[in-house]
Amino acid sequence: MSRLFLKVREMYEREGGKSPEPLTKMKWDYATPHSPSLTEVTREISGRDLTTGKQVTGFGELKDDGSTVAGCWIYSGSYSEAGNLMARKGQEDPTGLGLYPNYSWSWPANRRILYNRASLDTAGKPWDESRAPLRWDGQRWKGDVPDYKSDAKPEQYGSFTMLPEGVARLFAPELVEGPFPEHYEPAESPVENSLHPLVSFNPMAWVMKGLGDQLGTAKDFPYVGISYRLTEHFHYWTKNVASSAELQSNFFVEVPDALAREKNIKSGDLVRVTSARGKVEGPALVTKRLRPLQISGRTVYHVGLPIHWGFIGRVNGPLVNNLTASVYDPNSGTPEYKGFLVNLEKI
Amino acid sequence: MTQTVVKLIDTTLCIGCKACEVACQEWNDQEFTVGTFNGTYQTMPDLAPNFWNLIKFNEREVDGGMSWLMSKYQCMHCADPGCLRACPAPGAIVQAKNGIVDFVSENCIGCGYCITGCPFDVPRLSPETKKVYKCTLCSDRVAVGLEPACIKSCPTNCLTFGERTQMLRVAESRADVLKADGHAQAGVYNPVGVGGTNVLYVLKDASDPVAYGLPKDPTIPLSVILWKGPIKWLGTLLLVGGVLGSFFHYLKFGPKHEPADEATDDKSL
Repeated sequence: MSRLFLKVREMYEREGGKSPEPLTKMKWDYATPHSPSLTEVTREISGRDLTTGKQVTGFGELKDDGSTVAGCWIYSGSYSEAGNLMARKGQEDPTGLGLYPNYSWSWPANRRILYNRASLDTAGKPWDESRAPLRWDGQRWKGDVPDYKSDAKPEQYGSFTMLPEGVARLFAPELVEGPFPEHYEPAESPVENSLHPLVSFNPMAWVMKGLGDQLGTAKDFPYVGISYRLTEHFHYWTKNVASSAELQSNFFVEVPDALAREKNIKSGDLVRVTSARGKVEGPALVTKRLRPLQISGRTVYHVGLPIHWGFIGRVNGPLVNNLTASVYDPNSGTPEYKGFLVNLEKI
Repeated sequence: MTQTVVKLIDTTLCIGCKACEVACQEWNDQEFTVGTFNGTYQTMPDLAPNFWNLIKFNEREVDGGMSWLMSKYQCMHCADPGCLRACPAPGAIVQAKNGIVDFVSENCIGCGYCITGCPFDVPRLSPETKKVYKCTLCSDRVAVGLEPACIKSCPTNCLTFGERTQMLRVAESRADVLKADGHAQAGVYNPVGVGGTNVLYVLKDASDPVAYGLPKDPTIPLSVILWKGPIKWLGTLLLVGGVLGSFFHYLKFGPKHEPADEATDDKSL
C-alpha cells in the first residue's frame, strides 16, 4: 500500500495533475517510508499533542484548533506515553466480573462495557448488586471506566450520553418499518412468527423477484441454512492466495451430529444441499458444535455453509450464494444470508 | 556451555489461526499445496514430507459445552530420540548440543527406520526424493540467535521459545495458574519415556494427553533399542566370527578345487 502511494505521489510530482496537493503534501515521515512500522502507525492513530510532542492520553485531549492529531477518536489513548496499551497482558480483575482492565485496551477510553451507567438506577444504585461494573462512592465512579462524566453525580445526566435526551430510544422514526423495535422471522423460516403469525416477515424488506429468486417453505426445505466465513479466508479473494488456499482448500457442509445420525451421514460423505433457488454438493463435516434448537415445540437443525469457493482460483468449489435468498434488510441493505431454508441429502 | 532450547506450546492459548503452519512452509521453502479434507477444520489429515507442522483440531465436549482441544503436531526433539537410535546411516540424524534433533538429507539413505523408531510418528518419507523429512526446530534460525519461524508468527503467545530450565518453570507456573482457575488436572507434557522432550505442552487436562492427539506414555520401540544395542553387537560378533572362520578354514584346508569336468567346456570356446 505504501509503495503504491509513494509511486502515485512520485508520478504526480513528475507529471503534475489536477489538485495534487492531498498527495504531494501528505505527511509521510515514517522511518521506513515504503513500509511503515505498526508501532508508528498505531502511535499516530492514538494521537499526539503537536505543541508538546507527547502522546495524548485520550480523546478528551484532542482539540479542534489543529494543535493535536489523531487517526480515529475511539482509538485515542490506546498508545499513550506509557507505551502500547493494546499489548498489555495484565491479569488483574478488580471488579471480579471478568473485565480485566489491564489486559490489552478497549475502545473508547479502555471502557469495557459501553453504556455501563445503565447498570445503575437514577440514584446510582446498581440494579444487580452482585454484578455491578460501576459504583458511585459519593465523589467518583469506581470500577469500569464510566460511560459518564467521571465525577458527575448520578442524577446529573442520563445513561445514554451520546443522545441529547440522555435516555434510550424505543421510538426511532428513521427506520423504514416503523418507529418501534419489532421481531420478524426471515423470509424463509421453519416456524411462523409467534408474535404475529399473519405478518411473519418484514413487510418492508427488499425482496428480489427475478428468475431464481423463489422462496421455499419448510415442507420442502426443513432445515435452516446458514452461510459464514472461515478464519483462513476473506470472502472469495483469498482462494487465489497460495497459503490461504492450502489452509482451507475444500468446501464442506457442516451437519449437526444428531441430524447426521438421523440421515446416516458420516464426516467425509458427499451430501447435497438444496434450496428453492439452487443446490451445492460437498463432503459433510459432522459436528456437535451445531446444536439443534427447540423452537415452538419443534427441533430445528442448522446446516452450516462456509462461503469461500467459486469457479476460479487456486482452489475451487461450489458457490453457496446459489442457495441464499435475495432478501435484504430495508434499513441497512444487509442480505439475509444467515437464515434460509434448505434440504439435505446424502448422495 | 550451549543451552538446551525448548519450544513451549500452551494449548489453552491456541486460537487455531494456523499462522505457524504458513510460517513453517515459508521459512522452509515448501511449496504451498492443496489441503486434504478429513472431516475437520485441519489443513491436512496428517504431517507430510513437505508439511512439518500441523495444528490438530480436537473437538471435545467439556462441561456440557463444546471445546476445541488445540494441539500442534510436529517433531518433539526428544532428549533420547528414537529416530536417532534407529538410524543406520552415519550422520543422517544428528542431535545438536542445544537439543535439536536434525535430519541431514545428504546422509539419509531413505531406509525409513527412523519412522519405526519415533514414538510420536513424526518423520515422513518422500516418495520423490526417497529421503525422510521433519521439523528442524528451525535449527538454521536458532543457530544465529533467532526463534523458530512458528514461534515468531504466533499472535497469542501460545508458542514461546527459550532455555530449557527456564521454559520448564514457565510451563509449570502456567499450569499452576490453570489449576487455580479450576482445572485441577492441568499440567505439563514432558514424557519421561523419551528422556523428556524439548517441545513442551501445557495441557488443561494433562491426565488425558490422548485427547490432544499426544501419546500417553511414549517409549522407543523395544526392537529399535535392541537392534542398535545387543542385536547390533551380536550381529557384529557373527560377522567378525564368519570372516575369521573363513580365514582359518582357508589356512587349514586351502582353496576349493573345481571338479575336473570343466575342462571339456574350455574346448567349445
